[in-house]
Amino acid sequence: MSSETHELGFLRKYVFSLDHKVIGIQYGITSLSFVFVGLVLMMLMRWQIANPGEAVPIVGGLLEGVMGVPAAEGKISPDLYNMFGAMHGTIMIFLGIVPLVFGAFGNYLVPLQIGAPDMAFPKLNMFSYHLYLWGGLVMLASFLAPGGPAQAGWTSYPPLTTIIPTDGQTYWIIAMVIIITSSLLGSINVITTVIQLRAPGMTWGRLPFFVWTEFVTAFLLLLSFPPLESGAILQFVDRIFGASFFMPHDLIVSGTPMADVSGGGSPLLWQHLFWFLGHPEVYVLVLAPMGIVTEIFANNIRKPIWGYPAMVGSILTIGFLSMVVWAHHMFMTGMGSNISMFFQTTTTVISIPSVIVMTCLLLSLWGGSIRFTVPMLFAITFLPMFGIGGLTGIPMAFNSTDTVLHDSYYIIGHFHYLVAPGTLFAVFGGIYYWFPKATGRHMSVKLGHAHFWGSLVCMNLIFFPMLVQGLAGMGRRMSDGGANYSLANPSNEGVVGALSSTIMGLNVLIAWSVVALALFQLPFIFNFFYSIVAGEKVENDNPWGATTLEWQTPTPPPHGNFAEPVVVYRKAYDYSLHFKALHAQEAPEWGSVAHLPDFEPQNLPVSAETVGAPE
Amino acid sequence: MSHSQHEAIPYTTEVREDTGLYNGKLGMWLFLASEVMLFGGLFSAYVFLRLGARPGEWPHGLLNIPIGTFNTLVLITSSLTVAMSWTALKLGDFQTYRKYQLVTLACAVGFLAIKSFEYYDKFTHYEVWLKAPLAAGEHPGLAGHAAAPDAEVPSVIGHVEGVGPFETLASLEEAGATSITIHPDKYHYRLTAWQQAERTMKEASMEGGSAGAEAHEGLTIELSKIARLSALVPRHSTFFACYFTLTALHALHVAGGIVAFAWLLWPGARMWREEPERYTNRIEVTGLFWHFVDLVWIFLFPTLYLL
Amino acid sequence: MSEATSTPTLPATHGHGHGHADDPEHIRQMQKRFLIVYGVLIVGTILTVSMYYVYFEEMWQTVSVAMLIASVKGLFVAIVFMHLWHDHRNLGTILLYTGVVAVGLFALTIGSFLSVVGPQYLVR
Repeated sequence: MSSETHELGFLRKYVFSLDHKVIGIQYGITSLSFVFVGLVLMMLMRWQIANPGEAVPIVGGLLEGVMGVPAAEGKISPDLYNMFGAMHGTIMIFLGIVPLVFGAFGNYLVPLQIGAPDMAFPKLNMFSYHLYLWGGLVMLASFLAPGGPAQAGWTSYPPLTTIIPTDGQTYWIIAMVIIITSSLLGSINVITTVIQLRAPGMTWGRLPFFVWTEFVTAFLLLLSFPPLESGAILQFVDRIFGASFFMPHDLIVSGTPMADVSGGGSPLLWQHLFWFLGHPEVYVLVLAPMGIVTEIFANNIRKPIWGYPAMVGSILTIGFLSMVVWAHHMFMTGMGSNISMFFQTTTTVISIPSVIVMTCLLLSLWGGSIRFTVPMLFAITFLPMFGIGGLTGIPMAFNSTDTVLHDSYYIIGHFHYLVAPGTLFAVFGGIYYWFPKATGRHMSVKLGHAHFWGSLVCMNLIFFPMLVQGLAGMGRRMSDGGANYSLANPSNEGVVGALSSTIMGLNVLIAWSVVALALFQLPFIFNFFYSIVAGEKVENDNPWGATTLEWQTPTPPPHGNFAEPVVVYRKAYDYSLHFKALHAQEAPEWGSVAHLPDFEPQNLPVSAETVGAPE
Repeated sequence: MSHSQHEAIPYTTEVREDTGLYNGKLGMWLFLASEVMLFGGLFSAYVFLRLGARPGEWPHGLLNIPIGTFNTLVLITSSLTVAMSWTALKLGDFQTYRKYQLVTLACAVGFLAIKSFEYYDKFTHYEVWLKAPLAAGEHPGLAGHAAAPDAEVPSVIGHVEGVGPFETLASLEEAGATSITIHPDKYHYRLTAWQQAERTMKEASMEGGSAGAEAHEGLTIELSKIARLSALVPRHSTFFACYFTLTALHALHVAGGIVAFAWLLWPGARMWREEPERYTNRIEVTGLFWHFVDLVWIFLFPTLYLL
Repeated sequence: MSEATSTPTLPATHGHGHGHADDPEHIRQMQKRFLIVYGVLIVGTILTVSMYYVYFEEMWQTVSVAMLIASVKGLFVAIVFMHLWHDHRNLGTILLYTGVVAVGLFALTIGSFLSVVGPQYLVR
């Protein structure tokens, strides 16, 4: 096996690799790069909001060079702000987080955790990565298209998208179709792998929770992405062939009736097709992070996860319910009261399983001997951050409150709490946790602490003020950050509800916090690359003392993963069984069990030497 | 390399006992599940737009039913030959498999050829919306365009003399034309199917019957009187937008099937000698895809052609 | 999710899930079944087309008949040509789930539309 690996050339080994681990790392590096692009766009937007109408310092000239007219004199025009807004959302969600949690972590870990030699279809796996890469490049290329990239938001609502004359939106559609196809192939691969390639003895009840989350995520992608693909195809036909899927009758644009358009389409149709993906997508963004957090938790509290069956049941319920809640994104469109009631009910119900998962994790902490390693810091922070994000979402589930809050900064704060300090923190934790397995070296703890504390403080300084601004009535799509509606505008003097200087001042706080957040990512980036070559070497193959199968491989795992065939004998989280034995009075005294390790790997046969019957 | 890969990954050919499947089959079924959702989305879009259409504005009766029926039969036949070719392989009879698959490929290519003929007919078939409606009595060809003899005709549908596919009002003006001559169809879709049938029966009962619209001279309309002009393409109406999108996507699937079957029949057939079981599985899996394409058509045909 | 056994069961490396499915007699039987279904599909197509020339009072009647015939044809294709009948229950579960989700997409999208414009659209 290893002799083969050496025969492979550079291209076969690193670019067109069929090895799921290499593909996972490819996904990881590419998607982190996209997250970085999204971060840069966000910095520019926040700077514009804090200083409306001023030229961007340092990079203003570069901006004008790349973007041309919309960035004249190095200023961010409202058009350019719209483009950045649309691309920030698209890049972060479709090119950043989803490939990160599904492509990178899913590819790298799922086969390892179920004891498989690779994914079920290695060539398909390689193909889906390359599709993703090219879709992403098309999306980036749209920045260079004449007139700039898509500018109608990441949701691309027609008829606005159809009547925009520049090509950016067409790039967007084509890129989306490519990315969707890539995700579909990836999800087919993951589901087949989990169903078919589980090692002997790896029953469904013994699957690590992370595998369950990836399994449900794959189903969400498999079934919810195609309707968006069909929507994208329809929008493509509208834009290129002049059809009217989303163009209503008698549409008037800037005072002129649209010429040579048949009409008869419906903008609402797009919203349905989009949000049928859009809502399950939210759970794609959070399920796998929940899985990552669970893995880190179990390992760092040194006891079994409390309520594993309830957690699995919960995410299966989420998987189903998330398919029938989508129209709560469309309360503002004025659906009939019955159907609104239906979506309101399902939306409220779906919060229950999420709370069950969070509660199980919280209760797992009870009686654990918690090790505050860097991954654990990130994982444990996930709970309150996700909690804030989730709880601020509940008012949005109700038709009446949603109508008030929907287009305000409140909703921006709400979902960023879920995705940034929620999902991204779990991802960071995951990177610190599995880094030793992938590279054979630890990441620096000191730099990790700097990264963690800095990011935690900055993220809260960025997103909490947004909730406040939203409640004060600040709209979410204004390129001047609401200056026009504030008391700073003389014509608003005495107007009730005009934004106060305190609320406007928060824009400046957010802008500086964004800069600080970016600076606090530097220790992470340095740590990541430095530790690959010069980090502290791992003492053995299982430095964290973990039970799941990925730690029972050589480090880093070779092609084919396991040195010898794996057989699974135990549940996923058999930690501290000697305590349990002592407690259940199966062991006579502490001294009789103290020498035993506090974890029992899943592939450890049951014998007299180990304590506690496998369940 | 590829040999060891295949050895390393279990259940590529043999069936896993507790799931009853080999990898490829499960993968294909999952892919088909996503296809169900893709066509489900498009189908929902169709119904959504159909329900939202203004009364009397949804075109009908403009597609060629005999040709559509024939194409349906062609596709069903190809589905049968795919199923039979797989059983032939199961019996170890490669020659019979080959014969069946040649029929499949012929059917599939035939389907696309017929479809493109149908498409071209639509590309050159125009509807002309007028700024001021014509009177039905103005031209003998317009009788089938109005519900009553004295009714107004806001638009005329038919073949236009000397005008190729995809023209628009703007493109005709640019080319320097000042008027067009259109040969109105026998009926406009303004008339319900029932009204059309009634008239056809009445005509047939009259002795000799009228020779139909084709015998009339063309109707000449000045471009300045035309509000909008479109061939029966996606631009024409949401119905044709749906028709072309759905059938073109279906045709793409047919084309994909042709490529896959042709590859398996010629360059890919080497595998039959080395790993016959795996090759048979490939035919089964590709066949699943093909039957699904057939299945989609079974729903598309009545929806688009007959309703 | 059964965990009845604590000792892992090693799946047979060359297990044939089909068992009797590969014997020639069974396959010839299958071929016969394929031909019968082919006949059913042709009859179904003829029925579908002739339905076009039958006048129904209401639009929904026409639609129901057309979709009923199409569904029967589709079921035959899925069950016999795609031999779902012989396949494992797992596949059925996945497809059933897909079907439920697809119906959900369809019904809720159309339902939300009808909830705005009112049910008079159904009559037309």
